[in-house]
Amino acid sequence: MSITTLARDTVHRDLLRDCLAEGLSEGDALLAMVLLHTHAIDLHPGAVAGGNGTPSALPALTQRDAAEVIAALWADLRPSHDAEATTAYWYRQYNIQTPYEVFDDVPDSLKPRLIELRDRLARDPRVAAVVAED
Amino acid sequence: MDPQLDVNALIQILRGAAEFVAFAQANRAAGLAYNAAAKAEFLANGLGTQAELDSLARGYGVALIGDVSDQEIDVTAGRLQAAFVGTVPGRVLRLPDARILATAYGKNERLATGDLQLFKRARDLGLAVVFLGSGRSAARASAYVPRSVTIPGSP
Repeated sequence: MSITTLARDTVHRDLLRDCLAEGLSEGDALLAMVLLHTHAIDLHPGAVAGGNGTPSALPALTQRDAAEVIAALWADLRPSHDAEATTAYWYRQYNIQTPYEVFDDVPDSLKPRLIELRDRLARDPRVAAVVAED
Repeated sequence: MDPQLDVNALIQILRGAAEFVAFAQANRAAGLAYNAAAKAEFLANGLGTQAELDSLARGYGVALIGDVSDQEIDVTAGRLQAAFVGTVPGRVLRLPDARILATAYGKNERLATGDLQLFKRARDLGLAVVFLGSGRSAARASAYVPRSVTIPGSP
């Protein structure tokens, strides 16, 4: 994993791209949305460009923000699947398939993979912690 | 007309999600509405249809807010976004979410959403927002203590 400074506007996408580098299934894309929507991400000082060395806390994203991140990531990793590369698509799929608003509401059948994604994200050297948001 | 509905509420009412349908039934008499931004988002890429919106109108009296222009929505949305700049804990309100909130703010009406993170931002803005959900997410919404932000130009 390369240790590069993150751009503030694409920080979520760039972090996810590195931890999903082996490929992106639709199921993992939705779980990544759940992760971004239910967890805050604390970054180490200097992880974000222009941060003046201060720690960065990234609060949990709204459904639309998370959908926008996944749409952009999907366009990067699965460019031949144009229909799924829109924010509207992922926003709707989230509400139909994985409408979980807090980590505790995620079904037990999905939690192991979600925790795996969370832990993989937390191992990024730029990430200090990935914390379920109250 | 009160309350306004987020797009997730339109989707979930159509899917028959219990808490969303119950809310629609309970508030039908008060008048349910969605704004032009919500309509555009619902219909984007052909994922939702006008026929579905028509069915919401027939079933629950859900109507399009017709007296607020896109330009007015954008101006108000920009003010709502600006309220979060430089605040702690660093929440951001991006334009698509701000456009959904804009008419609720402008008309001083309630907004109903199933998005807990948008609910928090709306509460931070001082909006009258209703979280549609159940179980632990509903409990979190009830317990949420807003981190108030100041909307530029507001009294």
